[in-house]
Amino acid sequence: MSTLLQVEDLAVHFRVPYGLVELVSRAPRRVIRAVDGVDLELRRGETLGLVGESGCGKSTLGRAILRLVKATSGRVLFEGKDVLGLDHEGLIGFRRRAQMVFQDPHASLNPKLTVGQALDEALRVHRVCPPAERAERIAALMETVGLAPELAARRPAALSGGQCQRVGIARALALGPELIIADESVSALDVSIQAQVLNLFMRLQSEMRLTMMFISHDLGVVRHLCHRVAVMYLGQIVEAGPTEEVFHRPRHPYTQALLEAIPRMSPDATGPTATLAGEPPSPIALPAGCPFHPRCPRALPVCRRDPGPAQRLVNDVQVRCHLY
Amino acid sequence: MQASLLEVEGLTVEFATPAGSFRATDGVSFSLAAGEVMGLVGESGSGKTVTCRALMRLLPSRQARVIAGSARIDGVDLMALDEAEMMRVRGAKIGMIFQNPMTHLDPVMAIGDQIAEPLRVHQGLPRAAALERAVELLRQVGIPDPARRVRAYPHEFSGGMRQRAMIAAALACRPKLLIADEPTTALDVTVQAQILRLLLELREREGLAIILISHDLGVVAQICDTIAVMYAGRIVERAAKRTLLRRPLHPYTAGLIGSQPGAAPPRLELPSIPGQPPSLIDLPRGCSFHPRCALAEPACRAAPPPLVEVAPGHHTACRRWRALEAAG
Repeated sequence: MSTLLQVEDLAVHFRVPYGLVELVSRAPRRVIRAVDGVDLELRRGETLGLVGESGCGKSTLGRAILRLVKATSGRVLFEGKDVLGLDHEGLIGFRRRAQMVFQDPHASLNPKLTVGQALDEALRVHRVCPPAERAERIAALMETVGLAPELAARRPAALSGGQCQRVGIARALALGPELIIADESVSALDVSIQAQVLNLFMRLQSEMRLTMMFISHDLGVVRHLCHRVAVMYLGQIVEAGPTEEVFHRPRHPYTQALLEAIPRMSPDATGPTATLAGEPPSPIALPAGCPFHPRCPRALPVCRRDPGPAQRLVNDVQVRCHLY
Repeated sequence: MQASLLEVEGLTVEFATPAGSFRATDGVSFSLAAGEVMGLVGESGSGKTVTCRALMRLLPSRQARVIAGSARIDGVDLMALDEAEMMRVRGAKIGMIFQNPMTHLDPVMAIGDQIAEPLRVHQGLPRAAALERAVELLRQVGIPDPARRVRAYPHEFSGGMRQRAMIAAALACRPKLLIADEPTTALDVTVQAQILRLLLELREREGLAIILISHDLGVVAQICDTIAVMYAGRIVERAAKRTLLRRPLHPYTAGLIGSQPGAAPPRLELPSIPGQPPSLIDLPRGCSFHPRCALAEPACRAAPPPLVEVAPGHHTACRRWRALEAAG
């Protein structure tokens, strides 16, 4: 499979707002390293899962790829062309081909627009088709995502969470994109509705040959949906590879702990294994050495000094850990 | 199991809204033994939180009213108590923890004082003694360096530590029952595992009974002895954890279990429950689940089926449970 998207050494650093105390004491400006040297490849037609705990930088990474937040350094190559260097016109062209579906379906829709108007807006702004064909196009989009035609006249407040999320997906599809980045797009949905929307994603992906990046904290969902998975911790990708390989033989100690902590719905479960003590440190005050070493059960002396090696390839899996 | 600690009978809560009135819970009955951990699962709006707020008498009094039912703890009906008597129950007999500790901890009060408050109110301990006990409680819930942390404020704690502090405050007066409303939903999975472990330890050590509200069957499966499933304001199935997960006898429970990712091989279509949960204002006639149910027959549209015990300890509110049992 050919590469559609190549992320190279991408970093997104945010400045912490400067308060009066810092101003007076002339403290150095503090920086949040939300994304810190990420390399990632997305192949055409695949679904890549991006997992990690809250604050690990997975949403920021997704947004930086689509230029919804400004990257500090690095490159995002879409078909070999650096997205970060695009001018306004180039960016609009890129956005037509790469779209995002957000987590909160109610918050990401304009409450004043009906479903039909929301879809019409996307078609109009990006001049996807002649005005005369828009109505037909909207009806087709709604059918694709499984929305009854009569819902076109409703506003988001009159829709359920699952229906809103389908509208969000339809709006992303309206431009006929090749890449979709879905950020926690099923997390806000009830279990019985979540399965319906996951099925929709899988169907769309195979029918339209979409390339997808699926950002989620839910490892069960990612395992079901994704061909490959990348695990993020404090702004870095610590492990990435084929989903089944990573789930069967996790190599990075963080991935191992994360998988053990998933509560499984087994009749004989006897409580989750809590292998990791503590919580992720703040991305403002990253520990020296490998960012995971204070919680790592297998940390070596070198891990306290050396900020983790570059990714290494072990049986198809990229691992960033001194143990390998 | 020992004699029951809590007996809930026919609890029905009505909400009045401009759009009409509806029953957020309708005839909810269950019992809980001392030291038992019960999971209360269901989707948003199914009535699990309302049930527990009703037990604590913490419903918004302007809109919500308990129109029928009782809830006895140690033989005393909580629904019949006045507010002053109820104040003596909250914290002392029943503790409660919530999904978001930040909205339930006072941001301008030191953690230690918040844990000490119920001890001073309920047990009349002087401040110094109550604070000493607060340090001990923080140690018990696994907060490192409790003697120093007792003076910290909530914003100085991480999410998992806040949840631990809220557990310490809820357990300060050694209640026999802890109601935990989605206590790990806002936490990361590695921290969630730590908190679930802590709840299990507290049950072992203190003989605490717990009602764990969750939308996540995986979480409930980890630590519960029994599970009650709610749908549209009613309990539709209740059984021991193993029985319920292995042989669900209500089609909604079976549907929930079947639609978990992992129920089908990767990348294949997941079985899903068609349609959506009904609006409580406009419930379907008969069994509320019938429009989404593959087993529905004409009788299901007539009257809501009662929750009946079809095997020892296994209750279901489905007329067609035999068909499910036969299908295995």
